[in-house]
This record gives sequence, C-alpha cells and structure tokens, in this order.
Amino acid sequence: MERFTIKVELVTPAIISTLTLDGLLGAILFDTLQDVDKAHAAIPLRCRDGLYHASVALPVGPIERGKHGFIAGLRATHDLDPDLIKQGKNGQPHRHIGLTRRSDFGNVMNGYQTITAQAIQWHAQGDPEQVLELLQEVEFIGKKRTAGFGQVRGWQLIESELDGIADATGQPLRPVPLPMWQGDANAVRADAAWRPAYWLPQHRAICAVPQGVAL
Amino acid sequence: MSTAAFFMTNFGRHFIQPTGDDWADVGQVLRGSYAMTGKPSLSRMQSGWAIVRPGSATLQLDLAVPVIQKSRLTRFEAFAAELASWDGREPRIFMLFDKAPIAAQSIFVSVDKRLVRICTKSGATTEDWTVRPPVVKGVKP
Repeated sequence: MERFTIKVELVTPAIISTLTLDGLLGAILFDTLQDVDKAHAAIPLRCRDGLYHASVALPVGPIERGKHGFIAGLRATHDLDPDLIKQGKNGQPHRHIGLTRRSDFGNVMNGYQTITAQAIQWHAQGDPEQVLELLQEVEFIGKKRTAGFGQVRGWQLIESELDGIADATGQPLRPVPLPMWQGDANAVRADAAWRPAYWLPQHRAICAVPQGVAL
Repeated sequence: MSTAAFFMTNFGRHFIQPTGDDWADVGQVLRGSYAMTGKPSLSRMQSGWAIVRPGSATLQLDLAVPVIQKSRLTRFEAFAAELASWDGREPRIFMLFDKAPIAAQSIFVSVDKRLVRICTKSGATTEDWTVRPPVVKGVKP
C-alpha cells in the first residue's frame, strides 16, 4: 500500500465540505455497481477497522469562500407521482397540483458555501494507479455539478509521505474516532461521520477532526 | 455513547417511551406535540431553545415535563452562559427550535469549545467559542 497525494485542478468554484477521498471514490463506484456495500468494499484504499486512510479535501494555495443560493420550484406541468405527496385521511393527496395552484407548493431556497481555489488535494494510502483510473473520468466534483460547480481540469498523482490520517505535525487529516486516534491529544474534537456512507448518522462518533474544516 | 443515545437518555426519554431505535426516537421526540404547563393545549417544540447535558437538560418552552429545567433566558443569554461555564469536554447539545422541526440527523453533540454545533431546522451551524466574533460593519461595539 503506497502513500500518495491526488491533486485536482479546478476550473470553477466547488461546493464541497469535508469530502474525503474514500467518500468520493465510493460515490464513483456506486454509480457503476449500484450497491452501497459492494461500492465501499471496492474502494482501492487502505482500510483499518472501517477507517480509510484518506484525507478530507484540502484546498491548495489561496482560497476564497463565497455563498450561492439555488431556488427549487415545483413546476405543475411536470409529471409528479402522487405517491410522493402526503396522503390525506381518505388516501388522497391533500392538494391537487394545477397550474392555477402551483403557488401552494412554494419555492424552496437552499444556500451553499462555495470554495474558489486553484486546486484541491487529498493524501491517502492505497493503490494509486487504481485510484487515478477511477478519477480520470470524473469531470465535476462536489455538489451542484450539473449547474457547473466543481469543474475539473485534470488529475495528478504525486508521491507523498502522509498516510491520509495525520499530517507531519500530528494533526488529523480526516475525522478519526478518538479510540483510534494516535496523533496530537489536543486536536479539535467533534461529533462527525468517520466512515462511508457519511450521510448516515449511525456512522458518526466523537472524532479528532482537522481544524478549520467546515463539518 | 452515540449522539442519539445521549439525546434520548438525557432529554428524549422524558417525552416518549423509547423504542430502542435511538435515531428514530430522536425524530419522534422532535416532531411530537406535548402538553404545556397549566394549559389544556398541546405544543410542538417550535420556538425557543434547549440545552442537553449529561444528567440534565434545560428547555425554554414551558412544556409539562417537570424533570426538565425551564428557563426564561433568551437563546443568546442561555448559550453564552452555558458556554462560559462549560469545561469544553463533557458533551452538550445546543438546539434552536423553529416552526419546522429539527431533523434527527441535524442533532450533534459538542465536545470542544473550538467546534460548537448549534442544531437548527436548517442543519447544524459550527462556531468557534475561543475566538472573538467578527466585527460587523454598522454595529457599535
């Protein structure tokens, strides 16, 4: 298992928070395998007791943080499965959608934090060739990719001494549960997801986390 | 102890009978309606704040749950007082209630003054209690 750094050059601002490399690879593999467990088992990175040796996304060079809002609206002319609408006591949707009543299903605004950086990198331990092969086809990363955020110019593989868990000063490079953490005892602690699927609250624990990373 | 178990042990079990599925129970507690002190009406946790500690909890809303302490402090006063007296190691849950209930997955414990999570209907915000707040233009200190 080699130690390496994957660097991606960005063309557009990206909407990413922690985004660990194992999380990114797991999502890519899921697109092909369509099975969460199989996708996670196929991640070509060192994994010890469920903890992948893969850092969170680390911006390279100066970064600029911004905010971007999206408004999602329900368009009544689109097909919408009645099963998706909350049912009333008689088993019927509370409201019928019509062109005259679309305002009843008001718009929803969601805000996102953007990062503008020249590049983003991850430190990891595993099979660098397989990792690069999986990432080569990825053209966008992060959220709101279809809106043009997180466009990628290219991927680069670099040799590294870091194992994806801790940096040279003993600070965490990713969320690591306290019982498994062997670095700086004074590292920032937080309730954070430490293994994929990162959206599952059952996968959270009190972890040592990188300072300054928005969780 | 998981976040959900901590929430149910120190707060949630006073509102509902736990089923054993802690995360489902957390959602049930946050969505539920409860009797108010001295009133026949029920109320959801749809305004005010709550702080959960090991072995105790404080709620601003005057629900008829005697085990939970009540406070008339504002959210700012309550959180500032709690953070000032907190050792920064024992877990705390800080919640801000609004019309829409807080989703179960938005409940986080805080275990470090450098990374305090405030749980809201829109997710959890992160604050560093060890640094001074940013200077806002137009606001006199």
